[in-house]
Amino acid sequence: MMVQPVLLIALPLFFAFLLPLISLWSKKVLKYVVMGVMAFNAILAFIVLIEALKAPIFDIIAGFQPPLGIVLMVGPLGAFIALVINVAAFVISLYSATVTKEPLLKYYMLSLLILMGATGMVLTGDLFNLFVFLEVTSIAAYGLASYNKDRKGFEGALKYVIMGSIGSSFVLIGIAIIYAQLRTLNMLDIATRLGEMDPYTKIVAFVSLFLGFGVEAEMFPLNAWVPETYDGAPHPVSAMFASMSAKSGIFALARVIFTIFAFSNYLWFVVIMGILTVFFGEIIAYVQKNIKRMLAYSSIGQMGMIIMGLGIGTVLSVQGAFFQMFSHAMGKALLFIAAGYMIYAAGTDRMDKMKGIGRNPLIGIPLLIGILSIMGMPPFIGFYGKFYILMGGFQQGYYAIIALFLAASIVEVAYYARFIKIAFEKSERKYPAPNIWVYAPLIIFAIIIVLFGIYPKPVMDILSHVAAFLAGGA
Amino acid sequence: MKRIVAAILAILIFIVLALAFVKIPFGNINLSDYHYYNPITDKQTSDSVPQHYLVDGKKDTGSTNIVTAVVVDYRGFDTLGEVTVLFLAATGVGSIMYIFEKEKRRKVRRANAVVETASQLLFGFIVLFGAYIFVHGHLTPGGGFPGGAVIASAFLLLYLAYPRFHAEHKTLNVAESLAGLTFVIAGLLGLLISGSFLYNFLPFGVPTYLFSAGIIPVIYVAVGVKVGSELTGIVDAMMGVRE
Repeated sequence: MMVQPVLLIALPLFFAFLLPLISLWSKKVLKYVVMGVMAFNAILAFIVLIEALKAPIFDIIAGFQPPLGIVLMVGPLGAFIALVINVAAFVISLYSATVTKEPLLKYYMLSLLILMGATGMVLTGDLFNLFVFLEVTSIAAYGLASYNKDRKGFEGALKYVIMGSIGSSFVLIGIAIIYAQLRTLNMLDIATRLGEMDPYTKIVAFVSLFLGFGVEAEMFPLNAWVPETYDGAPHPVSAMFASMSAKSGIFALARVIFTIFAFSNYLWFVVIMGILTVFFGEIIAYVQKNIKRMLAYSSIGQMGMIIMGLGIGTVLSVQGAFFQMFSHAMGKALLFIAAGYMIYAAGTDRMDKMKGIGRNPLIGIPLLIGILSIMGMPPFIGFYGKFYILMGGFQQGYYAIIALFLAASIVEVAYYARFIKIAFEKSERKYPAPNIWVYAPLIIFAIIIVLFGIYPKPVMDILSHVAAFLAGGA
Repeated sequence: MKRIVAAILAILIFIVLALAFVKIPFGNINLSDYHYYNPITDKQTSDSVPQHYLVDGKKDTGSTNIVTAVVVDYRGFDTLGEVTVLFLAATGVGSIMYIFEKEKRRKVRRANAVVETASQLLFGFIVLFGAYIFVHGHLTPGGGFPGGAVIASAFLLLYLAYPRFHAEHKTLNVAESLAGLTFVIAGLLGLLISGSFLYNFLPFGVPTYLFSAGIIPVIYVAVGVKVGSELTGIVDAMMGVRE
């Protein structure tokens, strides 16, 4: 059966508009409706992925051939990331059932729309459309970040609004420059006619787009919003940021680098930004005492690794970067959900007050799997991402970069190991048992991490299309 | 010190961008040089995108207002996204400004008789003018966004004249939802009928007539209602509870 990728965007949007009408009838069904929509969307994303593996899908919107109209350009990699985002969204929506603060209707609408925006960013083949979906994603994220309506939430959301608006403005400037010169907005059209652009304007346009999407991708030095926003947001929302908006931002970055500007070799600028991001994230994460801030900084470090992998630009390293997107989306969402439970159970967000919290196997086992995967231990998915990025670097002989990368990984192992020690320490303290909405998502993520860690072949098959992506394909 | 650094940074960014923009020709010099590439058919054409909009816009969409043709038809998907952005803004404000029961009410005073009488006289006309702007969006300058904003300004006048006035939230939400659903359903019908989301499946009719341009007026009416109710909702949420 042919499923058009536009349905992945239209369906959440349709239900986001429908939710207020449903809430007039019954408020209790809202969360089940949202779960159902997200599950269905994930299934659609899977079907789209199967079709995209045969040949890239071009979905023409409004019946106008590109570049006159908008076209969705769904290659295997885009469909893969869309599937990752949709699966993560569905599993996080299970955990969202623990949110009780009003107005729940707005919460569910925003969570459907952040999914729609993130999916749209990944699927679109039009530069201005990418900007529109960036706006949808980030504005939904601002609303969700301040959902708790407390001091921390407002502080984080305000920082995010400021950084995010500056980033969007830069994206818009970049698009304006490109459109003024080439009079087209279609990505492939831009790519084929890039040679007509003046070299200086080309660089300015690239840097504007790179910086703009860098805000969403948590790149140094544009990531000052990350710790406060992750810390102040409701727990499911922190997981959404790590696995949805950050992933769509980094994929947009990959689109800018490879599809539009068609760089297919070593990009020192991107690698340096990546390595700085890694160091900034990991070293500050080491000194954190608050668990969500530690995870936020660790998230910055992981995103830096992805940016580095994209910058090295060989097939192996970009494969690694995409694998890392997958593993980070799954692992970090798991850890944020676990952190949400632990903050609730321990009554504080300080890690030293959480002694023995992991001794309940329902929490402890998924937590351990998630942490080991993020560290990059072999039987879990986190291993492959880091491994392929390193292999890509080795192949090209960038030993200095590899050394720095490994040093940062050691720091990462150190602070996670310290947390494991606290969480599994013997303690007299009794913690409340998690309910099903907490441990079900944890277990689902843990199963995904272990399953694809032991048997990564399906993912590697999809990632074998990286070579075509680097050559400027969909 | 902070300010000096900020000023230097701003000037630097200005210079970098200005140097880029001086190299870009504006207007239609060398328009014939432009050509575009269609990634699906893998063909080059000797046409340029803006030129195509200007020359063939009326034929392609049935709209005499080329801006509307681009906004609602050629790039209608972007407009759907922008409508969603406004919807998000309204939802986000609604979420932040959510009023808990115990919150204290703000005391307000009555406005004077001149404002009250004038607002009663003007309200209908402003709403009518807003509706005119979006209904005629495909014929004359205007469209859903400005029309909706004008309607919201009529409600703003009511808030000014009657500080205790409250727009019915349920009605606003229902109007907003139905308008949004109309837009999405129009898109889905296009997908169903011709296999392309937001396809203009209604007959174009004769351009320059009110009933022309296929689904464009339908979408613009939906956008107008939506923008009007959303902006009113934002104003209402920001005013808080008054007595």
